[in-house]
Amino acid sequence: MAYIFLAHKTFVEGSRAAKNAVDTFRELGIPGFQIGSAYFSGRNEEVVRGDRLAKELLSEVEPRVRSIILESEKLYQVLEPYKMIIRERYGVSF
Amino acid sequence: MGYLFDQKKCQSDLKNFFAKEKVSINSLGSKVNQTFEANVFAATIRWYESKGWRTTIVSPFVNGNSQFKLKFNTRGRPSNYSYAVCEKNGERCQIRHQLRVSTSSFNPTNSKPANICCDVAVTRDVDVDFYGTGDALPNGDLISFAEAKHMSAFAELVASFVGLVHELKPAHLKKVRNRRWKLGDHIPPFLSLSGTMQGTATGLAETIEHRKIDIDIYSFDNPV
Repeated sequence: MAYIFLAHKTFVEGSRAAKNAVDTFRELGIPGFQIGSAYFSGRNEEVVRGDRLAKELLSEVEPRVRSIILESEKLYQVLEPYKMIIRERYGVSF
Repeated sequence: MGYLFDQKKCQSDLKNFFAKEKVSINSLGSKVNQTFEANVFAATIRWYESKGWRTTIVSPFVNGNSQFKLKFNTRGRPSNYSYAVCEKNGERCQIRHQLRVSTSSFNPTNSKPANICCDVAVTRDVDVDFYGTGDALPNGDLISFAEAKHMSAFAELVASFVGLVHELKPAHLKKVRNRRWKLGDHIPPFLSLSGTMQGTATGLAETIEHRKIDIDIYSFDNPV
């Protein structure tokens, strides 16, 4: 669960940084920028790669897990509802 | 079925996902740090624009054409890369990416160079076109700088940034932000994180605030 959350966050943050950068450069009249052979511009594949990976990652997990990941901003927030579910279902307390 | 979901199935699905997307994930992973650096460089330019500075991007000419090029490496001549020129009320400064700057304690008569590559450097409007890859800007020409980290912060990272400020702009570590302090025309040295502040880092951030030193820490929850 924590691993899925962290991978998802990494993907989303990657796209967020790329979108912020291309948007600011566009306002300055620069259509895009290059990192190695990759060209970042607008919402091209390089810019949205993280968002696409995040979406596909979540499509691999069950709906309830997906909603916990999406509703959590920090790692401990992922674990809290999960602990509650285990407590409810199995009577195990932490 | 163990917990909330079928762990075995999930493990197998995730294995398939990571195998299928290996190339894409590697591509994202290898560039994400640089992307975040580019974002912090852009955010610094945006900060100056928001304070009324007029900004222009200056790019090197490649095969007769101006080509926007960021410097994602500590090596390289500054003249081969783009930078921003900012102008306000007759004052001009530059915002550069990965510029090498001498530390404040460095003396040109020293036997060895003492310099640090700043992820983002705000400098006086000086000509560095003749600089080679190892040349460093004199410390007096550095106005401010930023360190970009694509990660969440822990105490040691914040302390390491304070160390960088001590080497590059030690005056900002004095008790500056008293009651009469007002944000000036230049951005104070800052650490920008793509992630969040961990508990240990927030403790240090609080002591920074109490000491009234003139530096900032920006994070996912509190961007530049």
